[in-house]
Amino acid sequence: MPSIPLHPRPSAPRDETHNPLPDLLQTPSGLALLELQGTINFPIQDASQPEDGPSIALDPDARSAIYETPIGKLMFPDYSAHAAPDDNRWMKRAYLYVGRYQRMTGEVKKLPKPLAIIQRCPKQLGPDDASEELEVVEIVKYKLIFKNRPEPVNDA
Amino acid sequence: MSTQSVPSILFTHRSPQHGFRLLELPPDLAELLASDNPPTLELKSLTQSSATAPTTTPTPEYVNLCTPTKTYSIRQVQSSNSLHILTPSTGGAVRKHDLSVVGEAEEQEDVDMDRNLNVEGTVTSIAKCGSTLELHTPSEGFSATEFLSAVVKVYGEGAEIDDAGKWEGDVDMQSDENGNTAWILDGLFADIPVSKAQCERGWEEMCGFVLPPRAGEALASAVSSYCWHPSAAKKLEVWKRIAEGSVLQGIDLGKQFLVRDLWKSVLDDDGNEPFPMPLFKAVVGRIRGSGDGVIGDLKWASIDKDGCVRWVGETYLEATAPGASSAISEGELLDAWRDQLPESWRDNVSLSILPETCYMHPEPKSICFATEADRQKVKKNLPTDTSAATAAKKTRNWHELFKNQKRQKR
Repeated sequence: MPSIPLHPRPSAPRDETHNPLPDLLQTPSGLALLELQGTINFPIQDASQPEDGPSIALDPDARSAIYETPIGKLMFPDYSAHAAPDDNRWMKRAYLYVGRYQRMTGEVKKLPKPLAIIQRCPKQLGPDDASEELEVVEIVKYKLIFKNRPEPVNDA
Repeated sequence: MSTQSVPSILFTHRSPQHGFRLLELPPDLAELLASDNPPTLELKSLTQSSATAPTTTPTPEYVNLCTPTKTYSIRQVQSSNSLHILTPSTGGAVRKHDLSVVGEAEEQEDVDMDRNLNVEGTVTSIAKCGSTLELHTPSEGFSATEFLSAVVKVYGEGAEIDDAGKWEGDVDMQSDENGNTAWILDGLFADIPVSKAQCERGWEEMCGFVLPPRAGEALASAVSSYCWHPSAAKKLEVWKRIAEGSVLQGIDLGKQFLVRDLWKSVLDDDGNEPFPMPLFKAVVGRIRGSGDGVIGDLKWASIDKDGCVRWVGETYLEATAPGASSAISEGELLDAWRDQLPESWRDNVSLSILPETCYMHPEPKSICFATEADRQKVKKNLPTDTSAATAAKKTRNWHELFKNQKRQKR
């Protein structure tokens, strides 16, 4: 494949799901970045690494079904939707609860260089068309970063 | 402060995951993408077919990202941190009993989940990226010439097509009307891993030209079979005809002239073409002054005197002294060079106007043409420690950052 086009705008319509993140982290497509030191392990992921496209779940019941596994909760303790938009002090603190008893402290950071999120174009009608096309789904400028170890917390 | 009273966001992991790649954008590219009408970018790599010769060393596999005018090389950078890509979710795909992991909602399944957990929404991780793609522009830039000359056949070294010279072009220069030439060039440039503008510049630089199939003939699938670039000797021959013809017909090359008139002046007494017209146009395109329009549309032109004198000298040197073994004396070059030029341009000849990278002195008083390989050698000797150190600081690559320190300890 000598030349693969990379389209500058996504072809899919925007996701209208309510976005609970602070305005600064919201993007037109709704995508946001979260950086974590370490990994979140899931049993299914080990079997088939979903590098490109959807993975095939091992469980036959789960095939073609989308499900979500709760990990924890995200919290921006100093954030207020009513604060002035240029007041960015809230960015200094963010919490990620993992399960009920562990908490990671992190922050919201502006990326040194914006990151483009790229995916393969959803296939148009005509599956015989083997040509591959890519598109920029979103350009993100901020990320949530949790680089510290989790600390134990009391649930109560 | 008790954080439990602050509304929080449920964080989940979605399965199956999605395939994404993260691409770091340099400021100019970010600006381009954010503009109102961003162009479609291209990912270009060298194809197998263009690396034809089996004797050449295997070319490293790489992909370049090209905007219409710029080229970036892509490097994949692994990160020990994992980058999750989040998207808002309705939370509908969460199994209720799984929520016990994050809160005490288990026993009260009928109670509204959101209120009970004190969450105001859900975000879910739909992809995890262990690496990002970084873009780089090497300091020496990208040149299409090297790639193009690997694909395109040389015209004038006995490899001409059998009907060379009999090529039936339209003297009125309307031959581009069917668009074949443009189509063939597009196909050729698609395989060259640099941006289109850089391809075009390289193509013009090397006087590349297209001999499209005659009307009615079907196009072969390998477009490069129509593409040629002249040898230095051929270029010189074309230039000679142009210089002679312009004198005979009284065309002042330095002023605006009709390209058609110049072409007629080049023809034999019986109107035969000494070489294909596309080659003639390519050479005129190479030496014309800037601002005379695009390649395909050469009606009027004027020759850029300084650029042309330089080009003739360079081409003469390449044709007569292509390597150290065939080096000629400087005086010989200057004399022969002057002889190639119209009377009034002769005084412009001097060694100092030749680009420094184009020649070498194998001996103090002799001179020869520096081939691409020779230039590479010179380039590699150049980088100093300081430039390497600053480059390493800019890339956040610690291998490069500490490379020099290690060396000093030894």
